[in-house]
Amino acid sequence: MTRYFSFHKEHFDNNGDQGNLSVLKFFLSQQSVSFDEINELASADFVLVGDASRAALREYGKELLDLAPALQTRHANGLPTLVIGSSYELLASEVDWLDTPKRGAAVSEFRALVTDDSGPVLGYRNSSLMDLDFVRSGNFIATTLFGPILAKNPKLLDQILLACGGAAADWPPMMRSWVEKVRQLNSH
Amino acid sequence: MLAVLAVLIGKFLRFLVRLVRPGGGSAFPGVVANKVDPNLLSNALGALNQGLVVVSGSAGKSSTTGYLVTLLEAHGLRVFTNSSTANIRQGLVASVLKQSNWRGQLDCDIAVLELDEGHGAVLAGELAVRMAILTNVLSDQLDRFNDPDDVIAMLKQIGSAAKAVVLNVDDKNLAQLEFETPVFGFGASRETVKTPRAVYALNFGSHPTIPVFAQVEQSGIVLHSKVETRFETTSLPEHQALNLSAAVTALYQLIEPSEGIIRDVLKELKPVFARNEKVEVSGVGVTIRLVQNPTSFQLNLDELSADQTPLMFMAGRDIHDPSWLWTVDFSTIKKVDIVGGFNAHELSLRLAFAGVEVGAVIEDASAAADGFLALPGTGHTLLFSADAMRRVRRHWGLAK
Repeated sequence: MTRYFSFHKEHFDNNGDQGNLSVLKFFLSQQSVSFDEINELASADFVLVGDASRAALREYGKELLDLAPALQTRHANGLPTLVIGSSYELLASEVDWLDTPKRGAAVSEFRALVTDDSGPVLGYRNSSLMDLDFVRSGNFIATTLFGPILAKNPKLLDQILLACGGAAADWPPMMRSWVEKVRQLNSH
Repeated sequence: MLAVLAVLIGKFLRFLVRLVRPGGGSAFPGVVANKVDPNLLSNALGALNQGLVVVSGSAGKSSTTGYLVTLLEAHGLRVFTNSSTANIRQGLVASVLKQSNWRGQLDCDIAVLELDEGHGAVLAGELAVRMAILTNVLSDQLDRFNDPDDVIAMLKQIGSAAKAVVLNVDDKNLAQLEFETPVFGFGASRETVKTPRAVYALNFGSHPTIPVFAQVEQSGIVLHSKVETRFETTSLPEHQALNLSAAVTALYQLIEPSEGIIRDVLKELKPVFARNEKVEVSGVGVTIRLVQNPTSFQLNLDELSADQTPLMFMAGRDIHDPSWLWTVDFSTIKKVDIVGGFNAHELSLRLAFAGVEVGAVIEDASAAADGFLALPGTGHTLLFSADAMRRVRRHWGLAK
């Protein structure tokens, strides 16, 4: 059984980040691995902190920062975690265990990032961060690439599935062809 | 003199563009005319004796504009308006070129224009705005506006430039705005709101109470004026009644309307194009629905009935970041027969992960449209984004 925690999933889904859970659930279910939601971060196998509006961050930002020590432990141990978009930006500006990115003008675009462990990682970003679009420590990932990045990056997905107690994804051929097309259309 | 030159060049370019692209709109003539005479738009609108009404907000702009124009015209006013695809500066100038004389003058009494939120914030400061109608703030076009906070600031700018503001009191984001000019509210009674997923942008602040002039109630709109007046609105889908209440509120502040004329108009009023519009193409009846953001996609999905098949969804190039498709709840849908448009593959992925069967994926809009018409069934229903809508309407000869 794999347990996941998603921080205020109803409000931290500004750009479809909760879709990552649908993707994990889809493949883990194929592999007969249950994927169940729990309400506390400490005992979660997988943690998602999605992108949020400024209104949501004003309301829940402090609560998120209160989770920073627990997230730091996950970071140190490389446990499977996705911290995305504005949540990543908030944390990076407040904690010292994540490098502080440089800021510039906001850039809104698809970006294919070169990563050491997962090859090119594709996603959409809308951020004023000038660097550090994708920070990784083991399977702890903090990124400006919001939306369902696991759906669009099969190699990264496989790594997270394995870290969540599953196996590499066995894609239905049609779905795999759609992923390839999405990657082809949006790789720059 | 500058205006004459701008209009001459603009109208000539417009003629050429329409030769090349019959039925297709283009803002290019507007771009050029605006370069030649940057005051063409403000002068044309400033000369109208009944002034300028602007309509802005995340959704409902076209419908509200369309209903207000219809109501004003029924009362004998000559109204200058724009299409939903011409709601930024160059498009507005192109609309002036289409309808003005050689000196750039409009033979109209009043203008009712829908304005894109971003461009509207800039334009409103340059134009003499008699009234601003603010529809709502949704989580929409985040790739462009970044955050609803920015949209709220833009709508505040638009409203502040007007001599009166009509706004949606149900949307806390708007109700919290403070204006120095008179504010008139429209909204829906809590009993009427059956669609809880029509959510406005997240806001944890207080919800100020603003008096409601026109309120949507069961199958009607009630005016809370000196005497309470009720208008039936059975000809419209439920979610369109809110847009109509905005138009009726504005109407009463602009002129002294006739209840009889309003009742006559409402009996026949139909949604603006592509809002649950029924069209016939090559002998096939098709219901077409425009979806522009998570809220409108959700509202349209929630209104679909099981017999509305075959079903085609199209996500065009206008969806720069298709991530928002993953915020839509597709759990009520079992199968989509064709998924089309530039972003068809991402939409298909989204559907598949939501457990929805996808029949075929056809990226090319025209080919998808043809394939859709060839499918058996009597309930052809098409949900498409704005870019896909333009391409399909042009392909089917529906564009004017």
